Amino acid sequence: MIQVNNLRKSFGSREILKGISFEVAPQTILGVIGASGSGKTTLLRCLNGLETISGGTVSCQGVQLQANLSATEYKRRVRALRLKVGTVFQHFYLFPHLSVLGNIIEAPVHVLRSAKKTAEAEAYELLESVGLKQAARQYPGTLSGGEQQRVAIARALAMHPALLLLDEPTSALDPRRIASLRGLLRGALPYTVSLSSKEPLPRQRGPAPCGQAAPTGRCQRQAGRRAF
Amino acid sequence: MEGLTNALNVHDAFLSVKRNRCLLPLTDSLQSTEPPISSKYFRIGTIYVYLWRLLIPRGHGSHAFEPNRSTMERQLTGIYLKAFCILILLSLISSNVVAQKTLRWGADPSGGAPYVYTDPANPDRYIGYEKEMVDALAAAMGRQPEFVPSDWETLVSALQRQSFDVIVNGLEPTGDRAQQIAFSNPYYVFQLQLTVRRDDDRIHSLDDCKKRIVGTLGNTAASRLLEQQNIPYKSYQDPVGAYRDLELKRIDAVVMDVPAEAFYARDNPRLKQAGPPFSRGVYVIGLRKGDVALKAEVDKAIESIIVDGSLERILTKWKLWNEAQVEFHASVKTKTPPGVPFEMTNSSFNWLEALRRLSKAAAITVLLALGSMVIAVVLGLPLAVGQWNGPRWLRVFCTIYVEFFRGTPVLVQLLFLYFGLPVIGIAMPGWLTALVGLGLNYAAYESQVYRAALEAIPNGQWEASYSLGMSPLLAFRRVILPQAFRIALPPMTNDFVSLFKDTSVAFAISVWELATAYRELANASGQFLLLGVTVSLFYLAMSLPMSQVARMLEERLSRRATERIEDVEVMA
Repeated sequence: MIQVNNLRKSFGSREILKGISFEVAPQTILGVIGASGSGKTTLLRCLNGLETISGGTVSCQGVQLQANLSATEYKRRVRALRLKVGTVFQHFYLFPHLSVLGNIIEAPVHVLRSAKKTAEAEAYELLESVGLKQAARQYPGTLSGGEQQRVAIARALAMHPALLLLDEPTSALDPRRIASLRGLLRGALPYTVSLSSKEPLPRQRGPAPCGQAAPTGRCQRQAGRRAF
Repeated sequence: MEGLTNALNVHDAFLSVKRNRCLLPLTDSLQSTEPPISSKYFRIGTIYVYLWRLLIPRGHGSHAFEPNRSTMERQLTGIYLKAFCILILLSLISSNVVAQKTLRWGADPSGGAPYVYTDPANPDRYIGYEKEMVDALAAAMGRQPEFVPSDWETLVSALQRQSFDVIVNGLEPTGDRAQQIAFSNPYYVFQLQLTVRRDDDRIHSLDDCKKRIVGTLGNTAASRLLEQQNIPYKSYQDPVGAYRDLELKRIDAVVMDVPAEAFYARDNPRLKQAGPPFSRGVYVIGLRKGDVALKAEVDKAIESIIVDGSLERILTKWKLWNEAQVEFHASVKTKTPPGVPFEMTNSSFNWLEALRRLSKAAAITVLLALGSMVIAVVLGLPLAVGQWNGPRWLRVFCTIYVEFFRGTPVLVQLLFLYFGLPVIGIAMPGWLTALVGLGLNYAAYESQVYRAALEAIPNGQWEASYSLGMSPLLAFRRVILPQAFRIALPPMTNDFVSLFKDTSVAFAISVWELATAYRELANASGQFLLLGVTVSLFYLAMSLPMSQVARMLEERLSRRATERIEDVEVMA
């Protein structure tokens, strides 16, 4: 589903990602675990093109991102990659001026150019699956943190991504909520899910904890070091 | 209290030091030049020294004056004192030497040729036929003439405020002025002259002007005549502006008193007279009501300069001696009424008419404010985006634009657009100039409001949009702009209310909006107070609902946009 090969990222002279390789199979969950500041978020941001990679390759369903491309070609590929990768940010970044429904149909209607009716019908299905159908007409500001997260997941899934990236998905949740999130992600498992977290999501499937330069998704844990 | 004691100590110390050294600079220097100086001046001088020392503190307590002060400093103190005492002496002398009575006369010298105007050869001097006439009148009255430059529109109120004693400025007696001031006997018979562009074949008399705009001076016989005949007119502060706008095709004709027409338009190759001079009125001298003695004096003086021929000489010199004057002077000399009766125009001021004209001005004010705001709102956005996120050259350009329009007064910008641009061939009518000028000016302010709002949107909103596959343009249009608009709305409302009031600067380029209407109606009627209250009510009646609507809009938008910013780390 997604292959990452020798991925490097530096900010100036500071190298954050020092050659990471892994592969995630379809319908699996990969957890990325490390201390704060170790580069988990940077890794996820490289996977959806919010950071420009400094070396190595990221490929997903025929779109390959590499460091030495021309600016326009890189931009083109990033946009293609983003259609295959959905992201749920740590702080969700819902659009405060749109209702929950508006948040979900915004990209399908304006990026995928789906009809508004079909987009809405699908949005209601997604909201039902995250248990927030009744909140469709509410504005994000009136929702709790956990509800906002579920809306953000629904918003990302509405674009039918092949891969879902979640940045610190458990940081806002108490243990009970974490359990229900796990259930939700299991339900979403036609997708590949990649998580980054300071602690593992309990009883997760797929290749578990992570480390530096893991050969095929099986990583060793190297907490406390600024490198995987 | 302590400070005062210290200061007194300082003073004592100063004097004692001086006495010890026999160096009282104040007395000995003064005595050497002006021996019989009184003790009063000495006292004043001492007080002055005292104040001087207070103002320039040198230290604390009695150590302030070191005995070894430099000689230079002592001399300096002496010079200051001398100058101060001489000033006082001079003012005493000048107030005592009021040997001759003055005749203080007020007139508007700006564009005031040939009545009274600044001598082009010597800007400190005023010349004009009325200037020479007042000199002759004053001589006949045994008074010293003193000219008080003033503004045509406010001459009457300035006279009532005692800024001067008489108005001599080609003033026509009118019914409404007669309620406020008294008039002397006439000294000049004037006629009106219609002027058009040389290539204009459409207009031959006032009757051809029914559907055109005629320029004239505000609050004159000509403007009232046009008002009575229902001819749309635009009033100007001075003839230069009217004739220039005629040349620039901003108006189609100008009606002006013959003296001004003769001076400003007759020799202009691009203009021509349309028909012969018409209507006949008189110029009189305006006086305060109750100044009966002065009026008798002035009337006698006018008669005497007509009878002895000195007025005729002045008028001949200024090429104003014509048929009408011949008749008039003959009738004064023989004490018979003139053959042709003088027409007296009355301003048709009544409250209903005033309210009608104020409403029209209010409508123009609103349109002006709305139009400029649309320009500002539309033009502000590209400016904001350019300055915020454009390539370097665009950022520089937008910054220069913003700084230029924010850093110079809007009045100067309007004057530049109205008077400056025609020089390079762009002559816009007044309302368009005001619209464009205010629009360009406020675009600079709006761009800053937008920029602040755009920068206030968290970066995460961009990233969330990007990761949903949006292009930067789509993200900007659908996600960033609507949120920024919400932030920008309150300051924009604020700017709109302020723009609404700023439309009043358009009076400088003769746009008939509320401020202009107030000025002209009040000057024509003298109802400064009541009209002022009315105009303020007009402004309030328009700006209050506007703020109300804006507040409602803000509330509606903000009801949804209460995004809770949660500290997500807390529970981790």
